[in-house]
Amino acid sequence: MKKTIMIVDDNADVIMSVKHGIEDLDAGYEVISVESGQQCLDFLKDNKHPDLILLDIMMPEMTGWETFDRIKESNSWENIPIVFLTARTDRIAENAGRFLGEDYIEKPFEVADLKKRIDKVLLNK
Amino acid sequence: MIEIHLHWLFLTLFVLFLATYLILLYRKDHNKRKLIFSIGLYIASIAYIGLCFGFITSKTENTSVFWHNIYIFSTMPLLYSIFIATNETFLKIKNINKTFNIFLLLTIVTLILIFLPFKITVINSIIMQILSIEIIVAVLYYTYKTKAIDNIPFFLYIICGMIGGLSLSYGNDSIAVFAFVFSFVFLTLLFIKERFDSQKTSSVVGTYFSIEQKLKTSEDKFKQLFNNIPDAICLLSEDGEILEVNKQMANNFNTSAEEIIGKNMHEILPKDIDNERTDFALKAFKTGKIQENEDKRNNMCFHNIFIPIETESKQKNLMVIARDVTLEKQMTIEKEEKLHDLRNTEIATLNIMEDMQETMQNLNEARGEISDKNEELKMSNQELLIIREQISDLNKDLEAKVQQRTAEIEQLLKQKDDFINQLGHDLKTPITPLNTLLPIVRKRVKDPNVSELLDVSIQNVNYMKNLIAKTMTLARLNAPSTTFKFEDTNLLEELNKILSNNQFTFKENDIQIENMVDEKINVKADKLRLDELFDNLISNAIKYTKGGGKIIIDAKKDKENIKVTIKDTGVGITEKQMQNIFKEFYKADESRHDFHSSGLGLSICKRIVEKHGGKIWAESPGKEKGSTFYFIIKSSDGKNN
Repeated sequence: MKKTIMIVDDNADVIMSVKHGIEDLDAGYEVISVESGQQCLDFLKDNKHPDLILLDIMMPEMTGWETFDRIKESNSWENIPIVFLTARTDRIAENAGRFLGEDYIEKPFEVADLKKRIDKVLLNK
Repeated sequence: MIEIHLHWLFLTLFVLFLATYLILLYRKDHNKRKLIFSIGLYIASIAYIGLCFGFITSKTENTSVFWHNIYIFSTMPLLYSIFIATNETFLKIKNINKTFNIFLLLTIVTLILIFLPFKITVINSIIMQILSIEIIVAVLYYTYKTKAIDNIPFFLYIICGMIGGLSLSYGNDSIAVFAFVFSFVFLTLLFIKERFDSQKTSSVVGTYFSIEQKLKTSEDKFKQLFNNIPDAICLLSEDGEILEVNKQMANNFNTSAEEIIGKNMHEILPKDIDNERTDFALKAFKTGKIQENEDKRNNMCFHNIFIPIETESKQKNLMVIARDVTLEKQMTIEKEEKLHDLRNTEIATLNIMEDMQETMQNLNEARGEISDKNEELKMSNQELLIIREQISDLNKDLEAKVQQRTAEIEQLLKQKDDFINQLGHDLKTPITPLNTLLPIVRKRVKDPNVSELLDVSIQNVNYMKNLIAKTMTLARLNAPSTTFKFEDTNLLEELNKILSNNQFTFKENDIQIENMVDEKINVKADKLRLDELFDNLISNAIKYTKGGGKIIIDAKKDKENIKVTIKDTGVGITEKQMQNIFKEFYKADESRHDFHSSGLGLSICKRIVEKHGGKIWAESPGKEKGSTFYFIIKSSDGKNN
């Protein structure tokens, strides 16, 4: 059974990179994507939960923080592991990633590295 | 058988009585004149005794020579005394002692004559007559002069005496007795009168005796005064004969007054003093003025005054008063000394006062100056206060400005940070698809020409990716808002992380790693930054070491620090390069192909080490001889977190 990884990012190209990058690896992961925090929440309401969410921080309308909070507030979604995927390089992002989510990855990322982290999180689960 | 002629006995007793009475009077007032008379009377009584007992008769042939002579001469002393008395008054004989001596002399001579073996009638008669006549004349003259009748009894005494004598020679005893008795009665009258009325008497004898008495009284007074004066006084005649000395003067010569009166001063004084005094004496006589001098001998000082005196009889005498002024002199000297001391003290005091005045002046001046300075200070103070206020205002101004600037700067910095973050984000986002997708495409492309194109593209994307990453890192390191979290970190642990990250590259480049870092070494560092540091240095080492090379990593404890060494066997660093390697964007080798070098690696290392309070530097023997990079960071004693 393939694991589902959801990528939440306002940039279509980034989505594309992640999708292709992971699928190219043949790691047994399926990538689904949404382009905003809101879309993410909507998806979660209607559909089965993904196994992992890759969450961008810098998004218009609803930021990654907000989205994160909303997900974690919900009883049903709170257990979904979230990995921050961000171009932000400040400490806040780093700490947030480490202490709030499961991990955080910087853009641009190396695909191998991304996979490794995803594996790690999913294995721990 | 001795026959007693009663009439002569009566006379004898009377005479003896009178003599004794006079002796008693003499004993009272020591009037030598009385003594003279009494002696005369006693001797005269011998004759009357002779007449009484019949040794002497009127018939001269029956009388022995001895008794005849006695008769003749025994009345002489009395006559002498009367003679002396009368003539003394006229002649004003001063020295009774002398007169007494003459009287005694005459008496003794007369007594001696008594023992002559023959009867001396003639001589005696002559002398007697002469004396008697002289006495009579003197008395008459004196009576005439003074018109006093008090002397008449004296005169009568003589007459009766003569009568008595004559009668006796003519053998008429009774008349003789009568006459003699009368004569002695008259004499007695004189004495009685003198005794009761010595003041008023003007008889020769009376006057003689009253003057005597007055003289005696005044002489006594004078003597008392004279002898009790502490000064030594003497009266000298013109040729130096001592006429009178007082007790003090006599004491000064260690003798008594009686001894030296009559002697000559020239003989008594020592030669030198005598000469000196004589000069003064003569001067006194010459000038008629009082002379004074001072004698100093035997630690004593005498002040002598020479006073020339002229008596009524134009006699020139000299009164010398010698006062012992030793004590006075001493006192004067002491006084002088004290005065001298006082003077000195006075001068000293004056000096002190002068100094004090000066000091006072100086103090006043100083006070004035201080006062002025005070005023100046006050003014300065006020000015200072004003300036202080101004400064305060300025300060406030500056602070406001500083705050403003700081705010501005902080704002700018924040803007910068935001800008960088934004820029970073904006650059990283488009790089992401490039970075991810190009390799995928590359994988799927078979055509070598196409893959070459893709390789170039990927290289450049990598370059950009690296550059952006490093730039962001450096910017973050430089930003003041960035915080560092220093913890006790195990050096080996962090190093191993980096080494394991790069192990693939080591294999790829056939580079050997020698890790000699001790596991016990702990440092105080920001873990992330330390990783970054190692990462950069190791990457550099790999980049610049050819295949088959070696990288040796070591760490040594150096007091409180750890010195880490990263040595490679690579291309080395030239001197020129050495100056620039830590500069931003400097690349040692421009011609490299892998585009992994942004030129920022070492800048980042430098910033990291500096932020840790350490030091970083490189050494290299030269080109192709490898390089060694050193850095020092603080060690920590704690264990790993």
